[in-house]
Amino acid sequence: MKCSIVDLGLIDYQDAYRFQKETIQKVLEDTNSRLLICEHRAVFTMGRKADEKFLLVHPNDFVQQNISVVRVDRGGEITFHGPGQMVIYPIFDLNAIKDLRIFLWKLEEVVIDLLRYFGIVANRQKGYTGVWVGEKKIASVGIGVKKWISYHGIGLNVSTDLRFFSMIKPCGLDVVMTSMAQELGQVVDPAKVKEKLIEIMASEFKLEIIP
Amino acid sequence: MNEIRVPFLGDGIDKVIVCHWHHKPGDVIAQGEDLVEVEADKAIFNIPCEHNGRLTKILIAQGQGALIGQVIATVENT
Repeated sequence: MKCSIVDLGLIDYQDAYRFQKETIQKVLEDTNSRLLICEHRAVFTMGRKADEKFLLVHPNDFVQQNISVVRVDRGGEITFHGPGQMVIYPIFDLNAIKDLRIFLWKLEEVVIDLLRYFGIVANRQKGYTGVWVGEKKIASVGIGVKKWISYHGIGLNVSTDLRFFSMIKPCGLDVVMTSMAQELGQVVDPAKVKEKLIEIMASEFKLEIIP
Repeated sequence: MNEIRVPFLGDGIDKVIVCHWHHKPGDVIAQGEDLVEVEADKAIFNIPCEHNGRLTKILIAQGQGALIGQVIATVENT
């Protein structure tokens, strides 16, 4: 599968969302997949079925801290995106797979392999999506699919300020979040994480990286 | 009358939750246009309309479950 890498850098969630929608159209036109990588300013996002009871503080508190709350067309409950979290949006042509569960499994596998490379043992938890280090969650996974082109994706906590997660019930669960920096006890170079992520993603999805 | 069914979404996925209807009965819809979003696992899947036509009936409301292959709406040709 041909795929180009698009590094969006630090970008507002809504701008990245619009970019994803535009990119879906491009993939439908030329069938070349795109891997979008970025980081968001602080934002809470809620999936289609997400329950507002999982916001644990009053919405005014978010306004005071300049954090927005956005409802989006992905699966899953509420989650947080912010600086230090690597957000990966695979806008992939899934027509050769046509299987949501396999695609989600592969995305999780990419994160597990990536974390293993950096010395972190991570796994899946039965009945839940995402990637976990013991009982702590380190990466959230939630996707949308339109005409078998995927959007949304993975939020991997590289050095995220984990205090933001205490303002919500992440994914509707009583879950403790963690990050690569917390697990390793030191700061991780995001450029190295990005480089390795692309390599592992290319291997897992048999991507031919194009300019 | 054309039946809109929940398509095969992958091995082991036998049901979905209907999340969001993009149209209401009476709307004219073009072939390929998104009709409804369903959720399976942590994936939202957009089911397109396979025919040019008018949405006549929504059989599964938002928030309700449906099995793979189940008819969830009907569309009449225009």
